[in-house]
Amino acid sequence: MSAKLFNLKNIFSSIVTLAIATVVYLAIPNQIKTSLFTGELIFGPRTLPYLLVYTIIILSTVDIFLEVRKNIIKKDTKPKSDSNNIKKHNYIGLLIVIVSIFLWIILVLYFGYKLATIFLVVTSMLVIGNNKWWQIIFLSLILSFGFDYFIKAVLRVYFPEGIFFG
Amino acid sequence: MLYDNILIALKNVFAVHNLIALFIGNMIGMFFGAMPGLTVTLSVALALPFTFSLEPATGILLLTGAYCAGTYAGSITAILINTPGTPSAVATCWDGYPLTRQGRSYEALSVALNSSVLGGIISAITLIFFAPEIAKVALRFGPPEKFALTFFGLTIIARVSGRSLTRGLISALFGLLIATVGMDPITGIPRFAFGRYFLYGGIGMIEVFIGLFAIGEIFRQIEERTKAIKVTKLGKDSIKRKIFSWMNIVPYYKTIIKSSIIGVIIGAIPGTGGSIASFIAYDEAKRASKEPELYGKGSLEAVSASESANNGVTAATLIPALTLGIPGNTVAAVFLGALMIHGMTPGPQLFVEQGGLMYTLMIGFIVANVIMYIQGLFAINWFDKVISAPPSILLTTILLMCLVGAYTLSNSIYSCYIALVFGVLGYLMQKYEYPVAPMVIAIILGPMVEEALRQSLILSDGSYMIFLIRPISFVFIFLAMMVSFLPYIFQYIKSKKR
Repeated sequence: MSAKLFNLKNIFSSIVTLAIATVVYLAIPNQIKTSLFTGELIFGPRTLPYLLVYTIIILSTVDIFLEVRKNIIKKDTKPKSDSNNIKKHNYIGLLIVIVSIFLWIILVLYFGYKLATIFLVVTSMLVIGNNKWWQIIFLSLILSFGFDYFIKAVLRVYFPEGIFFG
Repeated sequence: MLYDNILIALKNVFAVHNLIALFIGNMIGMFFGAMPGLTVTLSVALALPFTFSLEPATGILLLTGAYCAGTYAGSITAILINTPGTPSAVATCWDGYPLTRQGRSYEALSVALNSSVLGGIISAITLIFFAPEIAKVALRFGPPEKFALTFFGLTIIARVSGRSLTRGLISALFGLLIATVGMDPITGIPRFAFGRYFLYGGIGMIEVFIGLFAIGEIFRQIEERTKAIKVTKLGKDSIKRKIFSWMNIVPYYKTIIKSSIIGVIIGAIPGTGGSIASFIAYDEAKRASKEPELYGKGSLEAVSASESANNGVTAATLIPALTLGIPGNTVAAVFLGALMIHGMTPGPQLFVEQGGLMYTLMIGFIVANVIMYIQGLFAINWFDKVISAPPSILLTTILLMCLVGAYTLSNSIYSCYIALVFGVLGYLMQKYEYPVAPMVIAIILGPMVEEALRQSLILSDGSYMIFLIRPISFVFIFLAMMVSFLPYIFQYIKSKKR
């Protein structure tokens, strides 16, 4: 049976949910400790997670089975050529933005909100496709200094100032 | 008691600072609703962290404004650029855009605004009269009934919100699993905390909303390289600008009332929403119309039907949310989250304990629609500029608002981590066609489900039969089974007949 026979995208996602549920199932004894008195309860802290995980495992298996069955039924029909309508995806850009957000969260603690925000704004604007430097500089300043002032004045929320502004 | 609550509500709603909150909420909703790709839920979820420092009434009114205006604003881009700002405005596109091409965009916008306002007001009046009555019935529910009801609600939401029931259910079950993170409510034993103290209190639902809805959507748009939109300029209409007038909708008053009622009925059913309501209302209006041939080619009656229906849903969606604690859709789920954060427990007791605030919300819906009308008159003229803003500016600004919003929830950087993780999850769920709505609603309902299940099993000495021997819970379980399996049975019978 060739790999093309299955809609890999759909089956892969069901396999992932099955794997996650299995990992959670294995993690329950370690993550939810029992105490002397919980053993006497009809419904302990582990019961609902176990019930949920069992059901997810069953449903994921059913989903995999349904997808395989659907694809076997359709195996004779050739997929329509979609070569004229190929969409370009910006996966690398997306990954850069995710990493930038992660770095922003770390940098905020050390360099403060303003500098970390300038870094995030510049990165994400360049990734999304803006090459106009005046727009990048203007938005960086508004979202770092302007926004910082706004949340301090209105919401009374204070971000870490970092080593340069502290 | 009722009149006392209404008086408290009127005093609350017409306080200057609350009117300002409604005005700002409307502006936020109108902005997000009109931007294609940005949703009403996103606007309400993003506005939520900024309401924490406000009084409960002010915060709730701000969110009400965002919800009402966001639902309406989807029609502006639907009419002007053939791109619905919200999914519920899809049916508006079919006739709104042909009207724009005929040079009748002002008429279409006027009918859309007036119909939306009327639909919203009818919906709010229904909420005022029906919600307290349903709450009285719901007060008789015990733990097994509550569990069966939430089970039914989650099943129906899983059924209607995605392409497959199994995926909807998996999404809901993962939501329930996420809700178990933190201290066990009875024994105090930490669950899935991984030794991190910030997880002992559970995963904050607002961080989850921000991640799943807003950050997930931004990631999707970055991946798909969303481009700025070309806009049909209003000033270049071939006919003279017409004044926005209520007279425009007079010929369609029957359609508007009927469509609003359709919106109200559909909105009150958990798991449905504005999109379904507008499609059904459009269909019904076409069936009853004297000019069905104009539908799809530029019919003002069609615009009035779809717009009054999708705004008819707005307040009605809150009927199951406020009275039973079952959010009917994602916006209602965010609303419930807001109520909980402001110290209220959704459910029938809410009307007993917080009657004044509940009526503030209901009357707030009516006032929000009036403010929406006034704002709509002015806003339409500068929308062409706003929606053509470069995505790099728009997405970056919203992304930062998300991170700041998550941080302000607990003054903790860990909230930003949670928002990021759920942002990635939200993006992946969209990509692999797992509906987000069941997960969000399950996260809200999780503690209630567990509590009801535990109490029921304690009552029955561990027997699951308790859910079948009590009539109300049996009916809900039976309905849940019907919702799940009937379509498959019908499909099987159909294929056998063939």
